[in-house]
Amino acid sequence: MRKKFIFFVLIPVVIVCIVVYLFIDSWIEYGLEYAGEKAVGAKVEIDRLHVTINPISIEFARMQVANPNDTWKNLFETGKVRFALNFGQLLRGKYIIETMEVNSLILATKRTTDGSIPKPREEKPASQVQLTEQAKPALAPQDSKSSISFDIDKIKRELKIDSLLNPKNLATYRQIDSLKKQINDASVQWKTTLDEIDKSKAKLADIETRAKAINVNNIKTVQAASDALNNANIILTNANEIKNTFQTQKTLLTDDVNKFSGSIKNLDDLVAKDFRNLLNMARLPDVSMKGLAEMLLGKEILSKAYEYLGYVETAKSKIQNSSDKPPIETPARFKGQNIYFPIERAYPKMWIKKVLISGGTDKSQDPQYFYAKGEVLNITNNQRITGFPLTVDLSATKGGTTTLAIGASIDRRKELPVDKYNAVLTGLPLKQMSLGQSNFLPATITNASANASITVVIPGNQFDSHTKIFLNNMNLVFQRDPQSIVERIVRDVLASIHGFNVDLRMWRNENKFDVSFTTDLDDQLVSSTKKVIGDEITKIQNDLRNKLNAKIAEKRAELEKLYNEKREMVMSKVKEYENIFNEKLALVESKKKEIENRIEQEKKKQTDDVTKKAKDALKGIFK
Amino acid sequence: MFWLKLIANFIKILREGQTPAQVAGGFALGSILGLSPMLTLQGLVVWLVILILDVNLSAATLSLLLFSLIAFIFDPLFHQLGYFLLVNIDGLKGIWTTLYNAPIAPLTRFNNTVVIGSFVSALILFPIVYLSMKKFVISYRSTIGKRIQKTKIYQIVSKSWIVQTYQRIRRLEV
Repeated sequence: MRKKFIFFVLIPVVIVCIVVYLFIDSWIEYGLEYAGEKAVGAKVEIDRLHVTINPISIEFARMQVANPNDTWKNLFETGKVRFALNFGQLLRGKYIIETMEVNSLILATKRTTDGSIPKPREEKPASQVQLTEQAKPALAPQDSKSSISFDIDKIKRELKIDSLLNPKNLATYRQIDSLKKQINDASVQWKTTLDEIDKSKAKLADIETRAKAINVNNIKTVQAASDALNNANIILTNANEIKNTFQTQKTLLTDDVNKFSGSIKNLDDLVAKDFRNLLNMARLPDVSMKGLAEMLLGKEILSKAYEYLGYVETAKSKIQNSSDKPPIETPARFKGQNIYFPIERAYPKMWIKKVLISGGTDKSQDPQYFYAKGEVLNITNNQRITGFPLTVDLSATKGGTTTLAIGASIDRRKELPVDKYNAVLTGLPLKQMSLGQSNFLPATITNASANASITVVIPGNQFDSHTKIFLNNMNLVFQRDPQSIVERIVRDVLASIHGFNVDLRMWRNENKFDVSFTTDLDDQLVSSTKKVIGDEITKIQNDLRNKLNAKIAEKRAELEKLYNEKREMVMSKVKEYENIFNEKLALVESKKKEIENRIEQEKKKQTDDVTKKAKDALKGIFK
Repeated sequence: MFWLKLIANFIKILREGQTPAQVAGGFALGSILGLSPMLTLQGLVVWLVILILDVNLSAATLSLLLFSLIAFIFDPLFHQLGYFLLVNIDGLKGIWTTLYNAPIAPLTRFNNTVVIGSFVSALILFPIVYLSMKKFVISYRSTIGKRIQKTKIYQIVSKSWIVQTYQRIRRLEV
């Protein structure tokens, strides 16, 4: 034992305690900010954090969480936040908070400083396709649509149907060539099969000889008849075996031949596809004029949808399923890998049971921001232990007129994660929203009001979202004069309406991301536009369709001729062989029948002889 | 200067002063601290033991620094060993689960692969380091020290400008 123990132990302990007491607030503040920044990917700032020892609780005056996608804005900021930690569980290294009080939650506030942080190295699982990555092409502005021309004279002048009908542009052409080659290749196989069938003819001739060799007239006894019958049965069995083999070969041949018939019929679908492709290449608008509204509205709405998908993806990736046997990682030096050993009905490493959010007082509210209130339940690192999904139920108001309700359920209790989100927005004033595209009716909507509802369900890797937007009280400012008939018509229609609905559905099934965009504006635009230019477009399209059909018909006739020739050759041969088989089989069967008759006759004759002899004998006795 | 002072103190201790057991004890305890990551409960306990027991502090500090370097090199091995102990041995899972859900024990961060791997390695090495160091101190005091003092390298180093300057400064301090 050290003699001056007090100097060596107690003094350092006291010094450490004083240092901890003096700096614990800033250490914990830094620790929370660091953890938050790691999770969010942008600055997290906490002001005036204070730790109380008895009971162990933390309180801070304000927290700002920067938006990683727009670092000059916050995702949200809070007023005073207060929570107590469960001391018993803290001794077990677990952070359990019964209730966290959050005052004055404000969404999307502006920042005075940049909220970006240096980006860490991105590590994403190679096997799983990111949702935003997959959605990007589907939500990107459609080039082909945007460059569609509506100038009928220009379309007629520039349309070169003959060069469009180049075989290189026609998938049907290539398919017909491919089918011809396949038929020629298959016909070699068919011929081989027919040759094999032909070999059976020799066996049939042998059967015929053997059958004819049985002379029924020479059968004098029952025994001879029985032998002849056995012989006939053996011949019949051989004949049936040959016939069965033939039937199998016939079925295979017929199926193989008929397979091409189906492929030839499918050419009609391919022709339709070619036609659509040609319309695209010719930059002809769809005669139904559907999609005009998408051209007008799509750019703005789809880019917003893409932005919100990013948030959904972040939530999905940050809240992970826990695993029973974690795979070994390669951590940085001195970091190691934490392995968890939870038990049922115990606490997880971290669990905030309830976050109570108040929206602040009306007096202090800034009319340009959303003030939210509500509750968030069961924030944890392991939902399988708590048995509860993370749920969010918030309602927010802005300027007394706009309301926003947000609900979410993030479930990681089972192997398949399920996320559900819903949001309803009412009375959102839209001071400015761009409309159209640079080459099609560029315009701006001003002073409109929007209502929207969004539902998102993400079970595992699938995704389904429905968005409904209703715009009303809108005014339009056009940036230039109309440059085509369609632009003029669309402008006239838009000038006469004050609102419209938009339905946007985005979904992913089996790794395919799709978007469907519908609006009642389409119907209004279609009826007006179709009246004016629909006939002209239809005429051009019909011309293109007729020329395409004529070109394909010529090529198709070659294919059908080849196919019919080969088919006829195979089928006639098969028919011929079938007749021969049936003929020989009939011969053997008739021979068998003759023998059976002969046997019957012989039996009858012998029975008669025996009867006659018996009668004669009886007559002798009774005389 | 801290380094020179530390090494000088250690060499001095090797020659005379505290017993070989005290020097070896300090060195062995320092090795536990050096091999394990900082800021664990067991680390604090080992510090307390060093401060309470009359072991040599210079030896402990030098050992801490030396074994920290070794720990840096062998960190991936400690991680592998820790993962093996925590995940692959089914028989130990009950103990880990009990400890994980018991009070205080989780503060040792035993469920971290590097912490458990390095701590177990340090415990295994402890008697070896202690006995080796004790033997070395005894040998140094009896034979090795004198032999080293006679070597040309020692003569050159001890008369070098750096050592002379250090000794002058040390005298001024005293």
